[in-house]
Amino acid sequence: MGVHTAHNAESSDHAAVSHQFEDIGQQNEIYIVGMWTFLVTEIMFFGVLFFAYVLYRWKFGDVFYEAHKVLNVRLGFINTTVLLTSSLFMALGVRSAMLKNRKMTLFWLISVIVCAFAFMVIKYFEYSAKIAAHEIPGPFFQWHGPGSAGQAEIFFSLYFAMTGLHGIHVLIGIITLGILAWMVAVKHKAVDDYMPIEMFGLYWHFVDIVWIFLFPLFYLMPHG
Amino acid sequence: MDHSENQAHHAPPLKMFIATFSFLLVMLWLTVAVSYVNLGPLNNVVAMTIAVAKMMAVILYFMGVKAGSKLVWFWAAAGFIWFLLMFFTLGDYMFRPNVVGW
Amino acid sequence: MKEETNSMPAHDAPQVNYLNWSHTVKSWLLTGDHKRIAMLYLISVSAFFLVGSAAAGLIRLELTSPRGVLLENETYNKIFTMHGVVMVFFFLIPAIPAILGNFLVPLMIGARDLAFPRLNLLSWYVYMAGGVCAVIAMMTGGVDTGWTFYTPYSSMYSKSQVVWAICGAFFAGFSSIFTGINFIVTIHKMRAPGLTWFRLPLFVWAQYATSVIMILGTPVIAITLLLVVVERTLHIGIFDPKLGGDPVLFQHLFWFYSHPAVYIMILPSMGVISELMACFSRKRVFGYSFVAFSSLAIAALGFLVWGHHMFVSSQSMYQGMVFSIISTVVAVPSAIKVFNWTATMYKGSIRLETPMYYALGFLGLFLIGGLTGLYLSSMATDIHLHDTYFVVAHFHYVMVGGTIMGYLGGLHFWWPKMTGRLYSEFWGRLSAILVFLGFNATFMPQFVVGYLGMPRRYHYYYLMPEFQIWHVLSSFGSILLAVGFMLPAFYLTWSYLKGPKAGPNPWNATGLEWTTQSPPMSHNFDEPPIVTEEAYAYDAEAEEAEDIEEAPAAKPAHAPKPAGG
Repeated sequence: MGVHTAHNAESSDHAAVSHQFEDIGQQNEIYIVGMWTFLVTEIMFFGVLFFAYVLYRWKFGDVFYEAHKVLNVRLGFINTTVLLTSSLFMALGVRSAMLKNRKMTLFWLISVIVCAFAFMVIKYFEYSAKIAAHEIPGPFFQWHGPGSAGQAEIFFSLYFAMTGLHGIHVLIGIITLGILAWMVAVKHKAVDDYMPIEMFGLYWHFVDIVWIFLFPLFYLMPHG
Repeated sequence: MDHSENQAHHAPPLKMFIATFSFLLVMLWLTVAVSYVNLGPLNNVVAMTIAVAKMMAVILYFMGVKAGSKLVWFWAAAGFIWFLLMFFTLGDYMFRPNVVGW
Repeated sequence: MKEETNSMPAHDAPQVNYLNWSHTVKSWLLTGDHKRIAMLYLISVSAFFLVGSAAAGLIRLELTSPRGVLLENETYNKIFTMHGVVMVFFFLIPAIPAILGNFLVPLMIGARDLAFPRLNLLSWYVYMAGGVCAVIAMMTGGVDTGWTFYTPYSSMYSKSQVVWAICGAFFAGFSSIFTGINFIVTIHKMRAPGLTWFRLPLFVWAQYATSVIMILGTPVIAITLLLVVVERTLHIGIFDPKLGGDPVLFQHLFWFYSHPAVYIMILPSMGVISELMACFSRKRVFGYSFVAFSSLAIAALGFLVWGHHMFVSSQSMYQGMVFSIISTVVAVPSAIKVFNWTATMYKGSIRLETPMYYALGFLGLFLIGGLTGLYLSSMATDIHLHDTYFVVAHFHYVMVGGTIMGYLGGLHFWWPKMTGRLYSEFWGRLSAILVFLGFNATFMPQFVVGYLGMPRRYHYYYLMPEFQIWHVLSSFGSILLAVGFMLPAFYLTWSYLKGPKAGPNPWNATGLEWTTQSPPMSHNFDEPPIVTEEAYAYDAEAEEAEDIEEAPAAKPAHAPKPAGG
C-alpha cells in the first residue's frame, strides 16, 4: 500500500508514532488490542443488565410478554435498520480512511452521525409515548394490562435501563463522531493515520451489537 | 520492510461490506418474521441464534476480527465467554427454596 | 512528600531523571510519564490511607467500651462505612497496581512507557474525581450502608449520602479499569526483545493476572452500583422487593466483582513477595512457572467463588455447596505460592533487610489469613462465623496482612529506584517489626471474640462484658500498628529529602528495572534492553559475585523488534 513509511526504533519521531512505540505496526496493533480490551469491559458492563433481564424474564415470563406488547415493533424495526446501516457507513468510513480518501471519510462519518441522530429521534418518540402512557417506572407508573403491576414495572425498569444505557452510548458516539469529523475536515494531524477512526469504528459496531440483542429481546418476545 | 501492516491493513474490498450488510438485513427480516410464528420455546432459540449470527457477522467483518491477530481474537472472545460465567448465578435461582415467588 | 521536587539538592543530582527534569506543577499534572503518575498515585493513595486509618482509629477507640460512649449509633455506622469505602476502593485496590505497578511494569519489561500514557494520566484524574465524590459524601453527612451498599437498604431506606459514595466507588472502578487495560496491552505487546513470557518477573505476571480481573470484574460493580443509584433517584427498580425484584441479586452482582477484588488486592502483593523472596534469598524463585500460573489460576477461580459471601443470604443451599467447594479449591494455587516461596528460601543465602522483613511478615500473616479463610469457605462453619469479628479478622489478615505487607515491602524494595535515595535500615526494620506485631495484636483477639459471637458492625456489647478484654487488646494492638505505619511516612520522607544516594542497584537484584539509573530518566532506557536470560539469575551470580551488573552480552547490530505476542 505504501502509505506507511518504514520505521525503526531510532526514527520513531514520526508524527503518527508515539514515543513509547517502536514503529507504526506495533502502535496500530496495540491500539486495536487496547480497544478490544476496553470493549471487553463494555461487554461485562452491559452483561449485568442482560443477565438481570434473563433472570427476570425467566421468573416473570407471562407479565413480561404482556408488557412487551406495549413496545412499538415498527419503530424498533426501523431503528434496527438505521443502526445496521450506520454500522455499514462506519465500516465504509474506516475503509476510506485506510485508503487515505479524506473526502469520502468525512462523507461516511457524517452519514453515521445522521443515522445515529435519526436513531435518537425515534428513541425520543418511543420514550415520550411511554412516559405519556405512565409506563415509566416510579411514582407515576400505571399498569392496566393483565398480571402484576410490580413485575410489569420491572420490565419497564429493565427496558429503560438497557435502552437508556445503550442510548447514552449512542450519544457519546455522536459527540465523538462530531469531533472526529471535525478533525478530518480540518486535516488535524491526529487523524493522519486511520487508527483513531478504526478505534471509534470498533466502539460503534459494539453499540450496534448491543442493539442487535436488545431488539429481539424486548420487541419480539415470544409467548411464554 | 517486514511490517505487519502491509498485509493486515489492506483495505478490505467493498463487496465484503455490502455482503455483510445484506446478510444483516436478511437476518433482521427473518427474526421479525419468525417472531410472528409460534414455535413454542424454539422461538427464543431461533431469535438468539439469529442475533448471535448477526453479531458474528459484525465482529468478523465490520470489526475486522477475521483479519486480526491472534491476540485480537483472544480478547474479542474473552469478554463474551466471561459474560456467560455470570449465568452461573442462575444455579442459585433454580434451586432456591420457594419463598414467596423466589 | 510534596509534588514538587525543589528540595532535591542540586549538587548530588547532576543526572537528569524523571523527577528533576522539570519542576513545574504543569509538568506533573499533565505528565504522561508512568513514573510520575505512580508518584501522583503514591501521594493521593497515601492521603486516603490516612483518612481510612483515622476512621479505623475511631472504631477501635469506640470499641474499648461496651456501651459505645464515644459515638452515636448512626455515626458509628458512618465511620465504619467510611473506613471500608476508603480503604477498599481508594487504598487497597489502587495501592500496588497503580503505584508500584505503574512505576515498575514498563521498567521491568524494558519499555519506554505504558501503551497509553494519556489513559494512564486520565486514570489518576478519574481516581481523584472518585476521591472527591467520596470526600463530599463524608462531608455532607456520611454514608451508613457499609461499604457493601446492600439493597434494599441502600436503594430505598438509607437517608445518607449513598449516591455520592457510589459515585466515588464508580469512578475509582473506572480508574482501575484504565490501569488494567494499560497493563494488559503493555505486557502483551511491549516486552523488550528476548523477554519471553517465561522470562518475565513474577511481579509482571501478577500484574497481568490482576489486570485481567480488573477489566473483567470492575465493569460489573460499576453498573451494579449505577443500578442502585438509578433505583434511588429514578425509581428504576431492579432490586426492589416491593415490585417482586430480588435484593439478593444485588449481592450476587456485587460480589461477582468484589470477591475477585480481593484478588486485585492480594495478587500484586504476591508478585512483590516473589521478587523479594528471590532477591533476598539470592535464588531463583522455586517453581517459577507454577507461581506464574497460580496467579492466573487464582484470577480465574476467584471469579467462581463469590457466593461464599452469601451463605446466609437466602441463596440456594445447593449453589452454596458449589461455591463452598470452589472456594476451598482457591486455597490450592495460594498454597502453591506459599510453598514455593518457602522453598525459595530453603538453602538460599537469606539477607534480612527491611523488604525481606516485610516479606517474611507477609508469609506469616497470609498463612493465618488463608487458613482461617478455609473455615469461612466451608458452609457449615460459616453459618456460625458469618458476620462476626472472625470474618473481620480473616479479611484483615488477607487484605491488610497480605496487601499492606506486600505494598510496604515493595515500596521499601523499590524506594531507592523510585527516589534514588536510601532510607535508614534501622527504622525500616523497626517499622516492619512493629507492623507485624501490631497487626497480630490487633486482629488475633478479633478471631477469638468473633468465634465467641461478637457480630461485626456492632458497637454495643454490654450484655457480653467478657468481650471487652479482647476489644481492648485489639485497640492496644492498633496503636502499635499505627506507629508502625506512621514511621515509614517519616523516614521515607527524610530519605527522599536527605537520604544517601542509592546506586542503580542497591540490592544487587536482577531485573531490567535495576539496570537503569536511580531514579530512572524519563524515557527509562537509553537503548532498548535485550534480554538473554531468565528472571532471577541469582544462582550464576553466586559464583561470580563481582560482575552482577554486567550488561547483557549479546547486542545484535540490527534494530531490535518488540517481542510481540
